Amino acid sequence: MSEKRILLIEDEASDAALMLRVLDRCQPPSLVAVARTGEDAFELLLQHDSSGHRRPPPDLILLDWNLPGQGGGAVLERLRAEPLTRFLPVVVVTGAASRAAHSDAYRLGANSYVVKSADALEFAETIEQIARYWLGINEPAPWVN
Amino acid sequence: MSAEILVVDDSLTVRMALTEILEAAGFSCVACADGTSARQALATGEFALAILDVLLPDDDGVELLKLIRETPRTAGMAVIMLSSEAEVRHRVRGLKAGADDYIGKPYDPAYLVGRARDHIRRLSGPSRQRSNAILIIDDSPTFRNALQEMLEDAGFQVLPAVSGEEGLRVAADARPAAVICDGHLPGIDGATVIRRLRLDAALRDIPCLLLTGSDKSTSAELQAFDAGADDFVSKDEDREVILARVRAVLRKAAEPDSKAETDPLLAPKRILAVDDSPTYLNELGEILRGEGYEVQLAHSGAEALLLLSVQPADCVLLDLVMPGIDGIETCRRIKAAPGLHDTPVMMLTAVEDRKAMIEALGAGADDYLAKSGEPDALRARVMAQIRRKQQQEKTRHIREELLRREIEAAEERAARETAEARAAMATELELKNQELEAFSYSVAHDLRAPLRSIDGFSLALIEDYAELLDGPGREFLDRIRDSTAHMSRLIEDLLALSRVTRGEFMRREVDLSAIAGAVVGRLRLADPERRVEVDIAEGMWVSGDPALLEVALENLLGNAWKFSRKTENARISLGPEIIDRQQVFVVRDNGAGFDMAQAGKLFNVFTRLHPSREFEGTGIGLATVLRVMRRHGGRIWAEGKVKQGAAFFFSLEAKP
Repeated sequence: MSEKRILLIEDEASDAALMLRVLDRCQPPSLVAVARTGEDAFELLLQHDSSGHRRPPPDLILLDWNLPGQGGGAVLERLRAEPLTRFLPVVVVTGAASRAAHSDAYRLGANSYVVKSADALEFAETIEQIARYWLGINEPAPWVN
Repeated sequence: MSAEILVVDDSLTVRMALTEILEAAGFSCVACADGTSARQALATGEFALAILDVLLPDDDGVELLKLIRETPRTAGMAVIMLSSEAEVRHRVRGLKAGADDYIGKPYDPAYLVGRARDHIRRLSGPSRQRSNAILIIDDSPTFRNALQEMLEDAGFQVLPAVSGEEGLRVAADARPAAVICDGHLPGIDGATVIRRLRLDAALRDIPCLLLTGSDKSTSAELQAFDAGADDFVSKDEDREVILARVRAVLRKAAEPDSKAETDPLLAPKRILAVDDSPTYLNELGEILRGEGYEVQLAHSGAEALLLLSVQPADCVLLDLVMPGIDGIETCRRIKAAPGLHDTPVMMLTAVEDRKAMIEALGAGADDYLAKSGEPDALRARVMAQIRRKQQQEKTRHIREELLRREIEAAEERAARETAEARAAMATELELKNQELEAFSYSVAHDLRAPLRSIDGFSLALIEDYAELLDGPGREFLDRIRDSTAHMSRLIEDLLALSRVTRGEFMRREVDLSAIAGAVVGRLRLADPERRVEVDIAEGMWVSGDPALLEVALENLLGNAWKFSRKTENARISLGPEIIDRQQVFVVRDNGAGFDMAQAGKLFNVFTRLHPSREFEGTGIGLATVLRVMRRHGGRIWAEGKVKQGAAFFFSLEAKP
């Protein structure tokens, strides 16, 4: 089995670094790409390499909900609209629990929604479990049966 | 209601004439020819008014009057003395004995009926109307109840009615101080209700306010005033405006004579003629009566002043030269009396006397007239004086009316401005709340992010660089992590506090026992080593918001759990009690307790009575509980003793 790929869309450098640290230790090992913005993310997802081949799609997208600008919601909407990305599992991670954000995320097609804990151990555990679950089982997007 | 009037006069002609005009006016009459039958009638009948002749063959009208006033059953009835007796002393005697009016014969029938009606209404109407009750006729329970609440808050008593028919019945029974009537009603409509009230002699003076729908068209206004409403107001108006209108119509109605059928400006004018010569006096009386004036005669200045003290006149004709108090002095005294100084005084003298004229005018006389002159000149000048006074009164009346309207308009304006300001304030407050909500959300989010980094990188240091850290270095990192954990709890608790204050409030039947049981279950799960005896009363059903009550119990039971940690055989209980005839609930523990001197501070935000090295905490929990109770309209208070446990009492309803 080839190495698993994760795309982390996160503008907070500290959060990205902490999540990378956790993901680096996860088994099976995965290749993590970090995009600081939605635009960066789509460039990575849709671009072709020098030989004209598209990069293989990630096995999991971790999407920060509180991105600057239009926020994670707009990115998720576009992910679900693009033919190439619409079936990728997307887990929304957010800094603060809000009922509205929670329901918005699922409405726009998130596979899961988790809150970043302020407790470092809890946060690490959460990320680890997400990676293990989604990379191990790799369930399709919710509306593909 | 037709009031009974007792007519006592020995003249058959007068009795017949009076009975005829009074019955034509809708009253029923009992006529007596002498004092004996009058006394009999008074002993058995119920009268609203008596019209008494002064001179009776077997009796004295003034004595009858005294009898009426001395008998409790009849003391309150109105009495008009009617007499051809020109004697001043009779008039003064009558008025002093408590006559409400004294009318000289020959009388003007319309004037007499008008006076009779005024007196009857004065007795029957306003005295009972002072009940302060306001009748609300509206078929919409929502609006009716809202209005009722508002009026009751403003100190009025309210009589509700759901239809025009019921409203009319209630009005007849209770004689309300005012009627507020919806224009649209099932059955007879609002305008008809008011029209019928206006047809009823006993009710026609009740001020009526017609409520119109949302359309502010002139047709609604016309319809309202056509029906005889005193005012109309749109249901859409702010409550404050409606209240101001109610007050305005009540005030208007309270003004004396404002609606009297006999407009004082149109009623026959009363002239007081004063002369020591009976011949001239009678002549004068004859001329003036012929002009339709009611004339009183006085033979001296003293008599004139006495008469004026009991009954004002519209014009005084005063002989200059009289024995005793002369014309000049009488005039001066009239002009000096507070209630009389507006009365026109015409000085009469036998000859044109320039010096006397100047003296008279100096004493305040309004005109000067030679007795020798033509009767026409007398008539013309009396009429001029009376017209001048009438004009003055009218002007004053108009001025007062304008002033009143201005005050009303100002009050209404003020009420509307208050309402608008209040609405603006509410909107602003709503915006502020929204702002605050957004603020606390972003505070929670933005404060957590750096905390996560501090904690995350501290953990990374501990885990990834363990070999580079000595004991103190590792301890410092642990301290950093402890602090971030505390700050994280503070943020959580502050968020909970703001949610409790702002969140939606939904009251329903709640099983407090079940919530408490679940809370204790979670406490045991988080702290499995502890052995705590917990006793929660069964079946505590209350009316409240379940989410808020859960927050409150989490804090109260959580505190009891926490502060009994160092107690052997820790015990916690929650149960109902009755204190001051009110249902309260009590959470007790046998833990660390507190100093009662500090009890007042317990519920303040960030107040902690225990050092955090003994008991951890943020000092926000009880402030949150207090707000939960306040949102229920309830209370919370605490009792405790150091090391002997604490008891927290709360009620979910206001103190009875």
